[in-house]
Amino acid sequence: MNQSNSYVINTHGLSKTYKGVQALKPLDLQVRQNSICGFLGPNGAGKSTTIKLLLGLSRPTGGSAQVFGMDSRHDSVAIRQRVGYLAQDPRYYDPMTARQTLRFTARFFYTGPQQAIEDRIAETLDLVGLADKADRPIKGFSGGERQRLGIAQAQINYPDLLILDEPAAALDPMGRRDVLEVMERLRKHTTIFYSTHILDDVQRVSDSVVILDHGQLVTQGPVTEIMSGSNGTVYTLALKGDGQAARERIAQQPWVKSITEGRHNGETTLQVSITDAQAAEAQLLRLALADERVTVTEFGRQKLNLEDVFLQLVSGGNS
Amino acid sequence: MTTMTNTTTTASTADLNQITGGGILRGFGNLLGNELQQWFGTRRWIIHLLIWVMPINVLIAVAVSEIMSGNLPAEAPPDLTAQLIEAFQIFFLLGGLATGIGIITAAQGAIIREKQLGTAAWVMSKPASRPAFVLAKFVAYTIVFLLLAVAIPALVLYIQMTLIWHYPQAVLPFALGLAIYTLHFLFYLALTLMLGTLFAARGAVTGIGLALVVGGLILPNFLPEWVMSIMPWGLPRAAFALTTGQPLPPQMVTALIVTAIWTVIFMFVALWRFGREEF
Repeated sequence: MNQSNSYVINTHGLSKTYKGVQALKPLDLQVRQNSICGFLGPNGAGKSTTIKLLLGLSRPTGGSAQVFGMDSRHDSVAIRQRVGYLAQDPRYYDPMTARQTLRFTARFFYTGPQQAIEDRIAETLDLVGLADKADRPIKGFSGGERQRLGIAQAQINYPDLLILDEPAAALDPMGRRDVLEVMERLRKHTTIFYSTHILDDVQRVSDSVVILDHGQLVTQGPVTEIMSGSNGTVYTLALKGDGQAARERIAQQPWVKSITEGRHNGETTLQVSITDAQAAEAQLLRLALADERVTVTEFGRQKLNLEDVFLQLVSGGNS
Repeated sequence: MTTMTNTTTTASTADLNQITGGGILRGFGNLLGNELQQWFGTRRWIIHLLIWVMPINVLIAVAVSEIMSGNLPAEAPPDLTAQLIEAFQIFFLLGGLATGIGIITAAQGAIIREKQLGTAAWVMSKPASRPAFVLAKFVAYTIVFLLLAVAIPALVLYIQMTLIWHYPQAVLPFALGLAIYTLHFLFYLALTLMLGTLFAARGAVTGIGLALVVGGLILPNFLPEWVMSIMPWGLPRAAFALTTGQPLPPQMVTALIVTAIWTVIFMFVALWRFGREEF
């Protein structure tokens, strides 16, 4: 399988303009098979627009999107056959019960046998914890229950690709944890592409990330790569005394990427961004202490999380 | 608190017969079933049946009973046959007006409501084609109105005519009249669905549709005669004429053909516009 075939989602210059406003600037996006890809961006970044374009719910103004190698404009029904989708604000026919909703959904994919369909519905209801509410009309469901139903209907067809738009947004912490667990369980069979604002979740379950801002791709790649590629590991050193010589010695090391210096109350604080954590762990403190005139009052590894990286990368973090 | 279970999936796609292919009507059967369920799976159909049978058939029954019991006003014509024929006039003319208004009122939200609520976007995220979505609504409303507003009231009228009042009514002319009557409401159904794809608010859909129905009562008096040939306004009268054995004026034949063409055009526009809908 060549590289482009291993991408479940592959877009080329995909763009969308609504009434003169460019909601999505030309986007080249790749999502690998069997990955869990977090799709991040502030409100209005173009995440939902991208998802709708992938599903053929909206028509691109420019470029193209391929899902499973099929064009989103011309093969959208065939694409949706293999996709499960949960909308940001999922809406169903309120008089229907959860079971009826899943039955209606399943009939878009399967003709029978009826018992096998009913078994699949029961299994899916059980999976999302709605078995005891299966025969109640949806109009009485809470936001969290609707979201669970959303996840159920999205994966009733054993999709090869699950596209979830803010899947945990309406859930309590327990529900959120459950959703993440379901996602982790499904990753063996399914590629999951999901948008979220909850960056902790992304860091926990995703292996790749796409960040969008103002309709423009900021970065994409494996989570570890994005975090290390953005001043990923930083050590903090607080030095009392003249720290200039220590600073220069540290700066000469090949594993040091950059040093940010600050002074406060006669102390020098160095933020040392490094590329080799092992080398830094072994040598950094020694290098600072090599100068006897200097006292190290603080030393520690500053771990950047995805939220820090996200805030650095998107324009909101600069403001 | 309800939690999601940790059971792994046990059923598999191997147990299920998967639908393949992405034809133009993909999902039609499921969508039609859902539409019909919304009528016949609830009390909605009973309410509509009463709405259609009660006013028309009861009005006719009352009118005819008055004739048969001899409680006629002095100036009323004594001819019972003529009075019974007038029953058909009530059925087709009053019923034609009512079905026009009724179909617009019932179908005004068929597409707009789903666009506004987001259920259309949800359905369209499944492997269902857009033509299937629109056509399922057209077929469902056709079945419902054909049954509740045409077939059952017509059957009741036929029973009233033949069994109670012993008026020999031939089936074929009546069936032809009902076919024209059906075409009349299909015109307004297609118009309503088309407007539903074109507009985002129900007001415009209902307003335009009802204006056209009411216009049919007033405008023919002010417009040139040829306008009647391109509008469906005369169809109930044509249905009545056919049923009672009167010849159809050429203008009515043209109106029949043009109404059928309008109906097809409206559906094409609806399919085209819904195909371009952005969710």
